[in-house]
Amino acid sequence: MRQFNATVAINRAIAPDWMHMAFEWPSDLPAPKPGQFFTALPPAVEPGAGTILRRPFAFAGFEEALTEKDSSLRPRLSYAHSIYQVRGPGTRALASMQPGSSIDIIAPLGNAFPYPERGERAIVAGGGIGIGPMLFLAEQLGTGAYASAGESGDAGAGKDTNESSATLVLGFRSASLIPFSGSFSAAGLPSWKRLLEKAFFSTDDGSAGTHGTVRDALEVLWLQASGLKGLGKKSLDQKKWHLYGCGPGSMLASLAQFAAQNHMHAHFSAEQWMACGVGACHGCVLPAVSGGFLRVCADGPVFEARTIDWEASVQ
Amino acid sequence: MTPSMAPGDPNPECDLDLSVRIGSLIMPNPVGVASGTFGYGEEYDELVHINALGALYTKAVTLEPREGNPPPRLVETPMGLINSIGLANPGVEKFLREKLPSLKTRRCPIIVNVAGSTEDDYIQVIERIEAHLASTDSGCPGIDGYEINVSCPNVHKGGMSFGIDPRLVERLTHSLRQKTSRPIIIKLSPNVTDIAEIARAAEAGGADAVSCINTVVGMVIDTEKMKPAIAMGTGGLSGPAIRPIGVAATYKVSKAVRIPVIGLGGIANASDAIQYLLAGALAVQVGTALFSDPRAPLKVLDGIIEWMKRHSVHSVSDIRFMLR
Repeated sequence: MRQFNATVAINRAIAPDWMHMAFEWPSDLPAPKPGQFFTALPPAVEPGAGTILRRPFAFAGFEEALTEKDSSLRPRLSYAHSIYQVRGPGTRALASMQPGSSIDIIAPLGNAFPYPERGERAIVAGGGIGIGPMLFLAEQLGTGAYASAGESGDAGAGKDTNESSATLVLGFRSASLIPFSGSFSAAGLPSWKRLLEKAFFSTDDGSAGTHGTVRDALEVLWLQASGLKGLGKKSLDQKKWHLYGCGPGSMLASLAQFAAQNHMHAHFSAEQWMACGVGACHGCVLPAVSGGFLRVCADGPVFEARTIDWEASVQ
Repeated sequence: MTPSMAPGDPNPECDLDLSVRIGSLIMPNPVGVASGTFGYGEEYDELVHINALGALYTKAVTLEPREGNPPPRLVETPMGLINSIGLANPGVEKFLREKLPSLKTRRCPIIVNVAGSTEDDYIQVIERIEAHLASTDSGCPGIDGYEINVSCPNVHKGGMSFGIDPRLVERLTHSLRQKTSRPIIIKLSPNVTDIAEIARAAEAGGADAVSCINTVVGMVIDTEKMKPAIAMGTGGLSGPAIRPIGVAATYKVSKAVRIPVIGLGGIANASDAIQYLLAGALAVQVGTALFSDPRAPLKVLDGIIEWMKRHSVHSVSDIRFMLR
């Protein structure tokens, strides 16, 4: 991890109250992995708001700089990307930052999603603003880039997932809130557009995809994969699922139940109010199933689903 | 710390004397990091030049491990932060086994913050640490003093109940004084009728210094959910919001006792720290400001040096007598 001042390259709206930010990444700092996060210090712009804490955000993508040997269309500098929601004075202040301005970043922080095991199909589920890290994970699983960046996993497992890639399931309140739609057609990362085209959707109001929650969409896909129901864009095979999730606490509680019922591996990225971001203050904890608490910033933010008492955490 | 540096020794780099003396301990400069905001140091290794700090006050250590309070534990308020962590810590045995080795490698003074529910808890923690230090190489103990947390607002038993009663503070300080020759610093609560009375009790009990102030009890209510924003209801407010309270308390306490006062509460920059020093503090601690900028403590130190040069102040320990 490192604290550095980065130049903001992109900071624009991609859906109502949703922003896409990209900033320059130091060339000598290891690239962030899906699941990891950074903290940013909001500029003091709103009189009386008096925010003092940094804000934590998950990485939603990373563009590696062009290397000497490289003839592709990669950029000259590396950029980290994030999708964030404007929720209060801190994020409002961040949303007001212009490209070219300087932002105080600490990164990369926390752990990353583990690689799926051999023979596992990655099901990548995101809800609301939690789609950011899931787009990053799905992109890395799809390109196979994650295999080389992954913590463990042998080359065979990498190849396996590269061929089949990940299945992305994204939940929104309504179709009009899906990024890059309607009046928010500005370009994000090219990979996000490709992923969004292939993704399965759920909406609370039924205006796109499955009417209901991400869990409802997963149930449909699960039945389909089990050969019990012939719905959907394409049929999934009988591979064992490895469920990855990020979203509201209630969604993760529901997905944890789904994963347990169907005996699948599951890893979720959690969110919690955070102060230090490095494990020192013990402010951002969640209740552990084994008793006690785990720190989202330093023990996570990615947890094996069965280690956290998600139900207790949303009360 | 730098063993060769004695009080009055000029800093060779800028001919300023930044050192401060707390009992038998000489801190190389007046800027420490506050307990509870800096863990046991390791967490900040990659972000902060820890050896350059005046002192590292560890996260509280209790006799038994503590899980801490249920979440949410934090809420931000205008220019402040309310926390109710509940002294989550691994307990003294695990502290000695797992945290002390890295503390021993530090070159800045290490002050262990000690908390408990009963007088006996505090005594046992210090006895255990002293016994451990006596049984190991004393050349580099890794522990240079104790800060006694008699003022945590976030635990049901003990903590603040000690800190509001001058008789209990004096008795506890006196008991701990028998157990160690290392400096004892009593951390005072602002949540009392007369903080000076508590400070005098600490001095009478044999404390080497007092730190002033711990967090101020505060509460935020979520009006949509119609419940408190943190699980425990109330918590401890820190950050710039409490700085004027801390400066006033420091001013009052430093007139009431002869032992040094260590000022803290909302220090985010050098000017904040110098207010505390002018109010009578010999040293300061930076806490919540670390959460916005881990570089804050060393920026504060740089700013104090710059201010001393600008005002032709030779020794940092003179600043406490300079208020006009």
